[in-house]
Amino acid sequence: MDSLDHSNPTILVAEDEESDAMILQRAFQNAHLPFPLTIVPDGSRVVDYLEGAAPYANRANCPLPSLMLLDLKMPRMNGFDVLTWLAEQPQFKEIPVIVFSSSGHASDIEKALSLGARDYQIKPLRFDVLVQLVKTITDRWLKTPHPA
Amino acid sequence: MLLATIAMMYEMGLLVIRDHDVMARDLRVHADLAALASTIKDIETGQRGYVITGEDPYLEPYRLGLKQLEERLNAVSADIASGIISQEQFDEIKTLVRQKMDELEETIRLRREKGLDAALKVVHTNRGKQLMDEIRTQISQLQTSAQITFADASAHASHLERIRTYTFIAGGLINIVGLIWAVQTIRAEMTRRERATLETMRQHEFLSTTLASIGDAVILTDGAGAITFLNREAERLTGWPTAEAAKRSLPEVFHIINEHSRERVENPVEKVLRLGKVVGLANHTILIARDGGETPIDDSAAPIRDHHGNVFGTVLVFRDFTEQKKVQAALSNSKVELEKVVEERTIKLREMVAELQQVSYAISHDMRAPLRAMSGFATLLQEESRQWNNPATTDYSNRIVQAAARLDRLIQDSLHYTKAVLQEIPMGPVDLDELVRGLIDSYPNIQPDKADISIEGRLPCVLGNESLLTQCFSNVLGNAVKFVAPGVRPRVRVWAETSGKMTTIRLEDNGIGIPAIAQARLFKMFERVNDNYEGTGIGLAIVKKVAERMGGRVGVISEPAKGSQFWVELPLAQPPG
Repeated sequence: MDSLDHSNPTILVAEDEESDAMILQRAFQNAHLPFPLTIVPDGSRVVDYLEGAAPYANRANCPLPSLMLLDLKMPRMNGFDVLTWLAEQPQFKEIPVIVFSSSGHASDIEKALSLGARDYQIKPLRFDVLVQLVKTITDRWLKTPHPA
Repeated sequence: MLLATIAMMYEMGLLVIRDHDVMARDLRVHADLAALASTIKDIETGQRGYVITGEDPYLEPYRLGLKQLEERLNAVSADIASGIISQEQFDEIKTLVRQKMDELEETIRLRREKGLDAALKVVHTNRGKQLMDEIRTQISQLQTSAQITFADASAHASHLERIRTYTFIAGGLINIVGLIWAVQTIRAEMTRRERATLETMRQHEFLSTTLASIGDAVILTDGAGAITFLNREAERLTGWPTAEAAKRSLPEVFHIINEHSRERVENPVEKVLRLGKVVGLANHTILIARDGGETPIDDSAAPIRDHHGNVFGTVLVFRDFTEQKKVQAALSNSKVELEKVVEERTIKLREMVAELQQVSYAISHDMRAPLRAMSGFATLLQEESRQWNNPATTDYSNRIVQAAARLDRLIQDSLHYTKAVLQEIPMGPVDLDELVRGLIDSYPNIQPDKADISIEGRLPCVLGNESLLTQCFSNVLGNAVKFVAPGVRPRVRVWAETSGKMTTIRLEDNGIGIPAIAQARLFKMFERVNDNYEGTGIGLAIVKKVAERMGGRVGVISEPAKGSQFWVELPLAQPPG
């Protein structure tokens, strides 16, 4: 693996809902988290991004992420499709994938975890709760020192 | 009786005849004796005439008498057999007669040879007279005894005649009475027999008519299996009139085959005669009539026994099964139809449930997204508005956040309710004690710092679904701690009462209580009894639905200001005993 830049790790967010994306960005801002968020609107873009396909060919602008937040319900490839694809891509197995979904269905949670998601978080309604949640997530998955 | 009378009369007749015989004999004896006496007298008369006159013609009666004398003696001798005259008596008379005859002959000889005086000398000796007297006495005595026996016999005969007459009259009377009785009896018996015959005929006719008119087909056979009778229905179905079918063997007339194999079915009558018991026909039997027409039938054959139990015939009863077959077919068709309809509906229902579940999934996912946006942006607006220092903007955006939160709760609760109604719930034993204690530990509203919740004893294991039961009890407990008067610390007491296969969990609180009028709608969807408290009005509806889906019930006992006791009845996982 060429360059997982943990000094200023990128977070790749797959989210088709624009409002959710905006609010998430604002939550990171309010939580004073400096990580750059790259937001893609569906699962196939996640694949493109990770594979370095156009328009994400430039690794300088589009470095491999240190964490992925994956919505489940998306057009084209949904979250499960992405998890299924990822399971067959050993080169990305180090990137933790957190499912971040509206669904609280037990079946969704089970399926996501069995497909390799490291965690499953239900999108909260309240903004203050969301701010707390992004803090917890980044604490848990990005502050852990990785061997450089 | 009659014979006895006749025998008696006959016997008496014989006796009378015997008496008459005796009487006739006596008369004969009497006559014989009289004749003897008369002959002797004639002889003596002749002798006297000759002695006196000496003239020969006077001797004529003497000679004639002597000729008859032997005959007369013989006759009397024959009468010895009668028993009236004994041999000694006869011998005595005979001796006397001989002596008399000698005396007479002596005198006649003397008269002829020596003349009258010589003869008279002998006469004067009186010896002849003595002999004659003795003879007369003897004969007279015998005649008297003959008369006596005659009289006895006569009297006996009359007596018998009388008895005979009485007997005849009495016997006749008795016989007449007997005859009358006999005639009456015979007449009564004849009447009875006539009636019995009529009754038998009537019964016979009744049975024949019944048999003929009976809806089922009936064939009778004799002990050898030959047909003796077909009723109308049997004639119709087989196409054979009784007259033509009679004496034929059953299979000739009653031709039956299996519906499917078309093979001939065993003659049921033969089977009955062989087994001596009732035999039912196999299903799917078809009767082939004389003209080849086919009728599905069902039948049975039974032996006919006399009162000693001997089989002397069989009765075969069968029925045109066409209608039933149609009905059966229709029934089976409609059953198939029904099953199809049920299956189709079930599939539709499943599809509907699946769609509903998708809708609820969509609701949970898609409807909450805009809500999150509303809530999120309203919060952001609030932050921004602080810079503008406009209290109204702050208030408005605050209200948007609260409304969004409320709508979110409604959506969540609706989803829970839908889940409680629609979800396929796997049932299993659930340890309520563990479940409720777990709830108290984990649910924020019922933590020990906010409420006193005590579980008395150990709650039992019930048969149910854990996730639904969790929802159910978190709702009930949540309600119990929520609806308290301001400033009052919630206290909830929980215990179980087990009875039979069910257990009732009771949760008693110190809350505000529920007015009786509101209790009825308490468990209905979207019903909120008290507006002063937060809530969607779905929680207790879920509780009720969950309990019902597990075969239980819910209820409440409450009075305003005195707290409430909610109860949930559930089936025990392992009923006692």
